[in-house]
Amino acid sequence: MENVLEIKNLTKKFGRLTAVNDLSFSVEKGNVYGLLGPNGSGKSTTLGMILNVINPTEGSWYWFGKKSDVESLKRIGAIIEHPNFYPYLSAEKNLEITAMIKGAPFSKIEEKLEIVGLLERKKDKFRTFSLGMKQRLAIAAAMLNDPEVLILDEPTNGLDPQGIISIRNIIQKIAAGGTTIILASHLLDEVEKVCSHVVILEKGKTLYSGRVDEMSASFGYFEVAAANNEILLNALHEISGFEKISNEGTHLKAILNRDMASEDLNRTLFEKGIVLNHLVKRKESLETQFLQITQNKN
Amino acid sequence: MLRLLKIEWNKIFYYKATRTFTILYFLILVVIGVILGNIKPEIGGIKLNIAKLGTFDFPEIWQNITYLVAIAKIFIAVIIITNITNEYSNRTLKQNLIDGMSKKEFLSSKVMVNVIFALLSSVFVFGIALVLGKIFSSSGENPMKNVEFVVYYFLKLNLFFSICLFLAIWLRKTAFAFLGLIVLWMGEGAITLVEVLTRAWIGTGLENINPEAFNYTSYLPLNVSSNLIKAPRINPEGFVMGGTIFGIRETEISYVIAALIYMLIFTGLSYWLLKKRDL
Repeated sequence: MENVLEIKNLTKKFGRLTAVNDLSFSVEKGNVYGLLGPNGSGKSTTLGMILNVINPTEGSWYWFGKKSDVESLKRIGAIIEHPNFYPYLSAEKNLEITAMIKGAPFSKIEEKLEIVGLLERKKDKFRTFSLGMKQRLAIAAAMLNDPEVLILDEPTNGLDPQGIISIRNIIQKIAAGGTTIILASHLLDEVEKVCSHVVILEKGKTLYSGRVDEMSASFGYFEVAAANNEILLNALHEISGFEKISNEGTHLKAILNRDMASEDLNRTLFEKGIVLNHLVKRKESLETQFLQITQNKN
Repeated sequence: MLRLLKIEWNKIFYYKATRTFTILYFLILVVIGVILGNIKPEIGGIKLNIAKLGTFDFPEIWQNITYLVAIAKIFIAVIIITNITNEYSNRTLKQNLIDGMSKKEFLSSKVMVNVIFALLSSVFVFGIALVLGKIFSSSGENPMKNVEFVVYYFLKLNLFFSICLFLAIWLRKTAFAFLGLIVLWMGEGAITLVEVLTRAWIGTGLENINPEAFNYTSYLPLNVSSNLIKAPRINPEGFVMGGTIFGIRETEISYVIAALIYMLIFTGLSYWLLKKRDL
């Protein structure tokens, strides 16, 4: 697979704080990458460095196999944090500036405004736009040069549910067209919904890098309860296949270390003379997996 | 280059505030010219006709006019400073860089705006002085004599604008950039005063300070700017004799060189700041 972006040993120190610590990963063409981490984990700093607005302390990166230069940035579309435009200019004038910088023809302006649904508002000043509209204009600006890579930093931050859905739809549409997308977010749910690959960052360090569906080798867990949980607990200890069993108050939680079907567990316990009044098999959400990964490394 | 100018055109001309101030500035230049040709103030019961004082005689007019209208440059300073500080407060500098503009291109576009404002001002001032001179001059001198004051004016504006550019990039806030300008102005004044007094105290004595004596502090940035076009020499005897009261005070070439060096320094420092800083 062709690498669109390759980051090698990237480090950024702000005084005593190390915002990004020896970060390396690569982005393959055509995939949707999530850059996941809590606030302050170094996501925006990383994006800032590969977009030439933050000077790295150490390390290097390659866009399209070349040492980064201004020309490669023109093949990328990026929105960092919140939409940055000239508030006193109309949507159209703002996009004209972007088009001139990127070297895109003005004819693209109407086309992209149409896609994000802002064509009727093109003559209106940017400062009159709602946050959702600003974010959509930012996407139109980023798409102006039909970029090979689209970088989005917290694109749905601060939007209402309708705005979030509309932005996600646009992103998915763009991804379907074969554009490589790098999406930074602290929302696991968002990454899970949109991304195929994920890089998890915490305090500037990579905790995980790979496919979203291979992120955890976990087999899930059971939530069980019976009339007498003490007896149930002892019985569960006799069955092999559990990594950890804990008492959660009203029920027990048994974490699996091999695959096991609910009916098998139910049958085994019944044979031991225990009748369950509660049995649910769950997979950890990405959120719990994320927390596990973060905790394991600490 | 044309691409960068078009980008700046969008940023400046489609912003109501800067557009209004730009138009107002050039109007003011013209209005100053019209007023100067027509006012006849009364001082102590004697009607003074500015035009008849020899103000508009060639070649003195070139120094008189460029000296007088230079103050209007503060209008353009406002535009230059807000145009740059807006890029910081709206974070559009960051966006421009992300979109693929290099830091060098960003700085060049701002420098070009400065040069164009200085050039347009010089053309206007040249036109105004020429017209006033053609109407009122009674000296019979060649109109193009001492026209180099327009070039000094052009340099003076460029020097001042490069200071504004640097302060705006350095301090990033409009109010602070102007404060910086004031601090520089007062600071230079204070240092100059110290030098003049110290020299007089050591040398000639405080009671007879020679205003024409050499001072190192004359080569501080804003002092260089004022020394590029010095206040015209005023000799009352000339007036009594029925001639002009104004006389040319030549600009030393060393100030021209100093101005060019300062422009390089301030532009260089601006570039260094842009390069070094994270956004």
